[in-house]
Formats: sequence, C-alpha cells, structure tokens
Amino acid sequence: MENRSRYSLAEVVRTAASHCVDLSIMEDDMPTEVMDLVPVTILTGFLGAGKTTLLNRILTTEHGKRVAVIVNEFGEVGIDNQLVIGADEEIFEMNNGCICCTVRGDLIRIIGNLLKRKDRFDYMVIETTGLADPAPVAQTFFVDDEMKRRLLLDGIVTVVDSKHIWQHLDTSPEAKEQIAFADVILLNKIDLVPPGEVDKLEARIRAINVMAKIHRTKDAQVEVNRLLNIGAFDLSRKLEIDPNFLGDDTHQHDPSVFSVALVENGVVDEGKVNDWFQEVLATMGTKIYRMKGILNMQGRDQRFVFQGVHMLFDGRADRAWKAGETRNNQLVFIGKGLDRAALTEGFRSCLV
Amino acid sequence: MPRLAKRKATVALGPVGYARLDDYIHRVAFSADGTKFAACSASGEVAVWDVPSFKQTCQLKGHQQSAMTLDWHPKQNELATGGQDGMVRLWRMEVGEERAVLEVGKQGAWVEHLAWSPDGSTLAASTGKVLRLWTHTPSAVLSPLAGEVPAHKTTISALAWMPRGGGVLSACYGGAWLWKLGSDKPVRSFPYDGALLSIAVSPSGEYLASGNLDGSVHLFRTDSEQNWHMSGYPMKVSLVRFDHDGLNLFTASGPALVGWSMKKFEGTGGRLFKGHLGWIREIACHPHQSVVATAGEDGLLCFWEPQTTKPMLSQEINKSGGLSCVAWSATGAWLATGTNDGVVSLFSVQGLGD
Repeated sequence: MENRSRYSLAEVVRTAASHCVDLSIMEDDMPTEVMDLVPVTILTGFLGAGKTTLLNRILTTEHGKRVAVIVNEFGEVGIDNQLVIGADEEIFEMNNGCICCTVRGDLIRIIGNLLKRKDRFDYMVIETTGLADPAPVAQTFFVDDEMKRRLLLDGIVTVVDSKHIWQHLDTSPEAKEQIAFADVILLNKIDLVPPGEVDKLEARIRAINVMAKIHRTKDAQVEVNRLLNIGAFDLSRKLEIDPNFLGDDTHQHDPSVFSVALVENGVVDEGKVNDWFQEVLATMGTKIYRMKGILNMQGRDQRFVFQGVHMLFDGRADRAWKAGETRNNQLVFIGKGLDRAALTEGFRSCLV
Repeated sequence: MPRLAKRKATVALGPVGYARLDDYIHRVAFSADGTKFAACSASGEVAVWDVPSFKQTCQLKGHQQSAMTLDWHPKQNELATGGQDGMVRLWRMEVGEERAVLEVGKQGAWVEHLAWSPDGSTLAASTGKVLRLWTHTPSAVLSPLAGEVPAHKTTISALAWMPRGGGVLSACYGGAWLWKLGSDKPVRSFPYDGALLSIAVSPSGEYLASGNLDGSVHLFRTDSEQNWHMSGYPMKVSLVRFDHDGLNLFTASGPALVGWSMKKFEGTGGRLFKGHLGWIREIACHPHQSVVATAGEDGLLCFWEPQTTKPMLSQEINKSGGLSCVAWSATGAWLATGTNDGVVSLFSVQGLGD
C-alpha cells in the first residue's frame, strides 16, 4: 500500500463551508428517522444448554409480539415461522483491529433485508453459537448506523447447563465470556443437579458477573417478560444495582474473569471523572466486557448513569436524587484480569 | 462583450403510470432495447411492463421468497432474477416463461447479486461466499456451469464486470478480486482492510471504486498498484457509481451524496450534493449525459449535474414511504422508480435533450 494517497473529505468540506455540521443537522430533522426501535435480545450459551428450548418457548408463548429470530444453525428450531433465519458468523473489523469496532457483518446484512419486508416484526432474538464472542454482536447495534437507527439492544441472556458448565468454566474462555456479558443468566437443568451444587454454581457465577439477574430453571421454564424488554442497555430506564452484590468481596474469585464493584461515598468531580473514564477505556477497554454505574456528581441534583461494552461508552444525567436516598457512587466493571486496586484508586482520585 | 446567459435546463418528469407489487421493490431495470422494464420485490414477485404503454406483459412466478436482484441480458429480451430461495431464474420475454432455473448455492443461501457480462456471454451470480458463472448459449438450456469461485472469506457484497472481456470483480470483507473464466484463481486482488459494500468500475476499466462500511471510499487503478483513500464520510458508504463517461464518481453515505471529479480529485476533494433528507437508496447515472438520479428514503427523486451541488430537479414521488430504487432506460428517455411499499412508476424524461 505504499502508493496509497489519502484525502479526507472532512478536511475538504471544512475549508469549503463546514458541510459536516450541516449533515448532522440533517440527521436530526430527517422525517424518516422517527422510527420505532425494535428491541433485540442476544441469546448465548453452550451447545446443549437449552437455548433451543428457550427459543421455542419465546416463540410459542402468547405475548402478542411478532418475534424475528436469527439462529446460527437451521433445523434446530422446530417452529414453523417465516421469521426464523440462519446466519453464519462474519466478524468485520471496522478500524485497525480495535476490539470495540468489530461488528457482525452477517447480522447487518440479514437484518437490513428483514427490515425491508412489509412482514414486520416487533422483537428480535439473536441466537449465537456456544463459541461465539458476544461483543461483536452487541457492538453491531451501537456501531452500525443502519442498525442503530432501527434497533435497540435490550439485553443479553445466557443459558447455562447446570450439570456440565463446570467443565466448560475450567477450560473454555468463551463460557466465562458469555456469563460475564449477560444481563440475565438461566441456570438451566437444575433437576439434574443436587441443590447444594446449584448453590455452589450460583456463587461461582456471581463472582464472574455481579450484575446479572440469575434464574434457576428446569426445561428453560421462565416467564418471558424476565428475558425480553428488560432494557438492560437503556439508560432512560431505571438503573438498578442490587446493593447486596456490591462491595461484597467474600465470593470466591475466578482468577481470570470477574467483576469489580465499587461503592464510594462522596461527590465526584466531573472533569476528573471524565479524564479517568477516558483513561480506563483506553487502557482497559479491551479487557472490560461490561460496565454500569450511578455517580453522584458535584453540583448536580440528578444521578449520572453510564453503561458500556468494551470501549463503547454511554453516559448521561438521569432522574433527580430522591429525598432521603443515599447519594453515593456505585460502579460495576466486569472483565478479564481487571486491576481492582487501580480501578478503586483511580475512581477515588476523582472524588472531591 | 455581454456574456451569453447560460441555457437553463428545465428538466421535467412526465408520469406515465404506476403499478403495485406486494412488497418492497428491490430493483427496477429496462431491457436493452428499451421496450420493456421489470421490477422485483421482497414478496418474490417479478413483473414486466411494456414501454411506453405501461401494459403489464407478464408476471413471472417462481421465486418462493424475496426476489432480491435482476439484470437484463445486454442484447436479448431475457431477464435473470435472483432470490432468497437460492435460485437464479432466467425468463424469456417472447414466450413469457421460465427458461432455466439455476441453483446457485445451498438451500437457505440468498442470491443477492447477479450480473451479465457486457457482451452477454456470461452470467455471474453470488450466494453467500460463492460466486458462480454460467455461459449463455442460444440453445434452450443455459449452462453448463462455467466456473465456481469459492475463495471468499465472507459473503460477497457486490459484483461488477470489467469492460471488454476483462473479467468479473467480486467484493467482500478484505477487498475485491478479479476473476476470469476458466481459472479458479483470481487474476488480480485489490486488498482493502475493511468491509466493501458497493463496487463500481469506470467505463474505461481504469478505475475500481469501493464504498466501505468504515465510512470511506477506496479507489484503485486496475492497471497499476496505485490507490487512493477518501475518508471523512458521515457514515458507511453504501453506493458508488461512475457516471457515463467516467469523469465523475458519485458516492452515497446515508443522506449525503458526494461527487469526486476523476480528472482532478487529487487536491480538490469531494463535493457534497445537498438535497436528500433521508438515506439515499440508489444512484443511477444517465446513459450518455452528465446527469445522475438519486432515490431517497425521504421519497424524493433528485437529478444532479456534476458541477452543481443543488439538485436540478427534486420531486416527491412517494409521500407515504420512501423510494427504494431508480433506473434509466438505455436512451435516457425513460425512468422508472420503485418504493418501499411496492409501487413501481414509469416516467418520461423531458428537457434533457439528446
């Protein structure tokens, strides 16, 4: 590529008449941009964990939704549904191998085509293989312009085979990743395991992911409204971190993938915390799978809430603090080999 | 000396009529002799009308699912269509019936792209990662399979033929490749570190342009290793098209139409053509004049000249939904559009001269 010459359109239009600015205005008042966003649930879990059973349950339950399903393999879903489509994982790097910029090209293409049909759907479930990395799937809905304006990532659901997960947890980084990414975890097939074992499993999983809602199930029997429309990525919804799981360091820690939860009193300096987040994303972004939090900003009556996947970060002012509510800071980072001490110390330095 | 006033072009569209198919119109196209035009829709319907009477000649039934693409044979009244049923279907207009069904890939693989070679001797079609080529024979049954190219890493995103027997180009994530009949290895590769969404070859065959997912356009010389990178687009570049004489390259990124002069793009850069409020779904260049038509999700059809960044015509074709495609007839006298909600319209184009 030594013969390559580079021209930046942005540079050109800047000198002409700052057209870039005009474009963003256009985007804001585009009439076609007012579209209902279709919520998307990502369903992960190892082969045999019970994903297909759960999918069939979602499709057959009366919930009044037309659900489109993207499966990784045909023939597994025994439902006669026009909206079940197979997809082969195609990972596209958008920008020099930056991990936060990998997307699933197959999903962009297939969903783009589904959205053209008049046969509309109002919910989408994407099943991934047991070996798939959930990050590119999730990032597709934040990075690609077309996906972003039509769909909204709702949550990541991971199905766990309570009997066989132990061997995967020890050997497979993917198993840990899928648990780490999850908003909802089904401990499935509990009928095949003694209750004491399930307790042990739950503690192990909790050490990896302190944030997820965990349900114990048999035959993936769970109310569908615990899986769909949970708004796990939606900052305008109520952000909740269960105080029971915060600051609890008594769990047995997985040496590689675990959660770091911080609860700190005091008020945060906006400028300092901004710089700190930039540094955290730049230095640890590849290791952070998920993050979420509520901050008590200096001079603000509203809570500041944030969430992120790898280096994709979304934060904004939320509702006002209620009278009598404990105004503190709660942050959760889930990732691989996170430096707990550095995160704690770094955040404390942002306090006024 | 008083300067002569520049002749103002008053271009106008004369509506001939409209028809309705059942779903999103993927593509409209005129036959080479201009006597017919066809449309294919997401319902699987394919229909053909006479020009200019706008009488429906036939409805071509075959695709079980969405008919995603079509292309007229460059010399004969034959139409190739590709669909989500994984089939390429060939239709002969004289008899209005199916001539051949070509299975391109495994079941469930969509035929998203197909194109006749400029001389009409070969048909290229892609499904998933596989590109297949068939030789066109005058006898009743087309085929045999002339070649199969399975070497793509990801799903093929675009096809384009080089002029004058130069082979066919396919694009996917990682670049574009040039293939010639009788060889299962690419004649040349055009690597690009990203996902290509659309490709176009200049009429002379000297340049290959790609529109990319990362919001850039990459331009390659086909006869040397020289290449250029144009970045700074507001979002992914979904369409690239050269105009009839190859003097301009038009590119679309969301609602932005950007034109590059091929004579002097080094240094001058791209120009933003402002007029669309919704995403541009197709750029169609007039067959022998420096005029391009764009169809937008805002329902607007716009005409542009390369030297003016405001549209010479901007007309709302669809009030309820957006436009999905547009095509010129071979003479440029007719223009057809398709919409999101299944309406196909035919227009006569007035005021562009000849």
